[in-house]
Amino acid sequence: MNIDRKIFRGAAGCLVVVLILAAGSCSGRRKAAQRGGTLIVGEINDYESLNPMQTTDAHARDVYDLLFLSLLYENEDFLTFKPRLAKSWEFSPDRKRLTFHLRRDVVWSDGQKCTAYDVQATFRAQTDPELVWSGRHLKQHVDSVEVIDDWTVVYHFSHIYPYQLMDVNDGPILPKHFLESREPAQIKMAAIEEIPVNGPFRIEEWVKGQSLTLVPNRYYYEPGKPYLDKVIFKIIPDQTTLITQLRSGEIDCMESIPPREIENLSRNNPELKIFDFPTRAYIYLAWNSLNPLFAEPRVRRALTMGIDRKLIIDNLYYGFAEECTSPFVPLLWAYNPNIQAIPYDPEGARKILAEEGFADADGDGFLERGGRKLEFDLLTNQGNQIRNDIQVMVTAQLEKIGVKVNPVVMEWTVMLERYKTSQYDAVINAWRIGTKADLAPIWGCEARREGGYNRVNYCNQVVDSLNALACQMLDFDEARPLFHRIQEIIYQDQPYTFLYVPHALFALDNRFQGARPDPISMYHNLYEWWVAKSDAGGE
Amino acid sequence: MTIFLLKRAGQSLLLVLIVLTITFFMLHLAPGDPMARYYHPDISPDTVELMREQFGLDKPLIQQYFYWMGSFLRGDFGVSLRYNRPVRALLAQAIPNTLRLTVAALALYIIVGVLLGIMSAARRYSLLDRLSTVGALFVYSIPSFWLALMLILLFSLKLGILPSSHMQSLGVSARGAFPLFMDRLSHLILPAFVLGVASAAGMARYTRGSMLDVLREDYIRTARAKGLSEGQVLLKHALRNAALPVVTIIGLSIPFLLGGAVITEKIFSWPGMGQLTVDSIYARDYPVVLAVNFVVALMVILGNLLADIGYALLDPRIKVGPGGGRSS
Repeated sequence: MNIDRKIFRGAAGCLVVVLILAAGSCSGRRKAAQRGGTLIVGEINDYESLNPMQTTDAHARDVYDLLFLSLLYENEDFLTFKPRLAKSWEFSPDRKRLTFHLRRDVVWSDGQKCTAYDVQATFRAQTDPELVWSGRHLKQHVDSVEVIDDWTVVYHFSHIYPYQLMDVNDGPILPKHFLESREPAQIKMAAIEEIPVNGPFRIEEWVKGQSLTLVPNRYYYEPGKPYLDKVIFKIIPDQTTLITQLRSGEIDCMESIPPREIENLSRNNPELKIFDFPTRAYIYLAWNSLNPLFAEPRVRRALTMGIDRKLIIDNLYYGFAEECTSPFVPLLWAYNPNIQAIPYDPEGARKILAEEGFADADGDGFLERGGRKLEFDLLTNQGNQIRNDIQVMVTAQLEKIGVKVNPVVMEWTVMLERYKTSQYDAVINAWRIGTKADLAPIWGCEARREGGYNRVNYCNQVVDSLNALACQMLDFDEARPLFHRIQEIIYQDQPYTFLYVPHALFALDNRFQGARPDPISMYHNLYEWWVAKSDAGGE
Repeated sequence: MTIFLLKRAGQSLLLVLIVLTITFFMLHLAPGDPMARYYHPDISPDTVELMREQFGLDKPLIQQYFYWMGSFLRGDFGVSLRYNRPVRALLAQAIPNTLRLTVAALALYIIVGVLLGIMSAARRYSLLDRLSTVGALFVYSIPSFWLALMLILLFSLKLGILPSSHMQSLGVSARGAFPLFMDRLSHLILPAFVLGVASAAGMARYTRGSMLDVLREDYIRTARAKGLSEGQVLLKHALRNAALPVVTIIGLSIPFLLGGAVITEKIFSWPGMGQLTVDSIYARDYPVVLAVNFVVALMVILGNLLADIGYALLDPRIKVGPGGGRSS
């Protein structure tokens, strides 16, 4: 019996030792985040402003989202949210009131607590007609913002619609003591360094045109974060130099990598990790329907059939783009994945144009109808090599089906002027669409007005009605079929030749761990990035 | 002299106002809209129109002109349409950056050009003369952007002894004044060379030609006959007389100090007036373009004035008279 107990105790002891060793080896494989290190990000353009009340630049937003907290963080499905400044929220049963319960441990970088009064003051500034914040129309259905106590704030709505939470969340919260100590014009003109922050980072130094340095905000509510000591956005206004510095390790991170560089980088720089995901942008060729040549959908379809979109993607984007078949992008929940792309079919295009009355009467290789040649100016802006290349390819491809294209390149603001005033035939342009499924701003009949975004002068009452209906449906599953139908109609009508949806290509040195870029922002979790002490490197 | 200066100031002010008026109307009448930057489906057209009203761009052009001229004459350059910050603040950032580069470049341009010119004139048709002429013209003929890229390739990438871009290294300001100074000096070498030395051939040719004309004069022969050293003949007697055309060129180069050097600034990522001006033109940032125009016009006038005063100092026969010009 004694021997049995001894054996049992010995076996149990061995088992314990084995378990301890196993646990130790598991934790050794899972690396813990380490504090320290400097990340250097290469940027091609400096930021015009980082003041959230002034700037509309998406790159600036990536930075100021690190300095200021919004109420919630939008997930990459564009439908759901995570807590941020607000730890919880709920709608009233009638959805006319939206209550946020704020974290109590958020402090501004000047030591003052962040409270519901800051949320209220931010709303007042955002809707101030003298300040004219660019996103003020998003708050048009909010009647008022009521402070219940320091940590509870209620938004009162005049109107129920699906995007109440999204609209309320747009724009970071700024400090009341900053907003109410200045006139509206002064708020907009304020330098970012004047504004107290409550996000994970603060600005240490901004040498205009040279670099922007962020360091951890010691008041940030998550203790121990950010892990990095410093993040430097280094301004290098030449793309070749940017790539060179990425290769040589002078910068650790770069976004918007030209697709032609990816293969080279992957082969010769194994220390770089390449992130690749679709964007919310699409590139298109707009047909001005006020031009009699482009008034008929069949003619526009024929022109689309004459353009080899896949060739454009392969040659110019090296496959890092997807063919676009919709005014929405695949990232959006309302996107219709079932639309078949109009095939590249030059013969089919010729046949349709012949049916529409076009023929080469004078034998010069180009089609005419009623004495008018099928000829037009194709505009695009200078300074964008890819669009210039698309112009060249489209010109050559349409010539094969008897269409004469005159490529015209002009300065961006001049081209936009022509586009906005509908003084053009066709133009190559791009949209970066919002996270809201609403086609009215670009496709609505109302949007044809002066200053509106419907510059092809497209008007389809069915589209308008379906869109208005879908935008009121609180249940996205019910709204989805309506949006799908709208996309089918628009694609059928071809007011644009939808070309492609480009990917975002982003490179990061492998030394840096914890990065989870998503379609919302490359740097949304920058406060969780870390680098091992042995790899810290730095400036 | 005082009356001369006052008269010149009055004439100059009138000239500047005419230039600015023409620029104002040309800018506003050219195609393009400063509000183009807000043309995006995420921004409501009504909001864009409110912003247009905020900037006063919805008013009739003539009303905008008088409003702007009134502010300008009070010393208020207005607010940048692009940055929404006072134009003065933008110029206050860009001007020192440009001056660092262009003063260094101008100094190199004058020193190298004049020295080369004197040497070539003193040793006319010698091997030194021919080599320096050919070398200077060779560098002068090279496009500045190509020269800049070749210098970066050699000194920054191959040899690694000079930085390739920017005004200073990251984080150097925290290391102290002397390290900052030395770091900035190392960043200045390549762009200043491209801007200054590369153009020095022009100055060298003017100086050489002017010196040769003077060296033929009788008083130079007299000076040599008196037993003066060649150095004294060249520097004390010849150079002073040969300097008049050189002074003209230097005076005409003054506007360059703040006109900036766009290509060089772009290649070396130097955030100066050149970049600010070009970017503002593309963005139709009217207040900034007008302010830069004013600054450059002022520099042209100042440059001419300094040239006139320089003439009077160099040549006692020349007086700046009440007629406002030079007379001898």
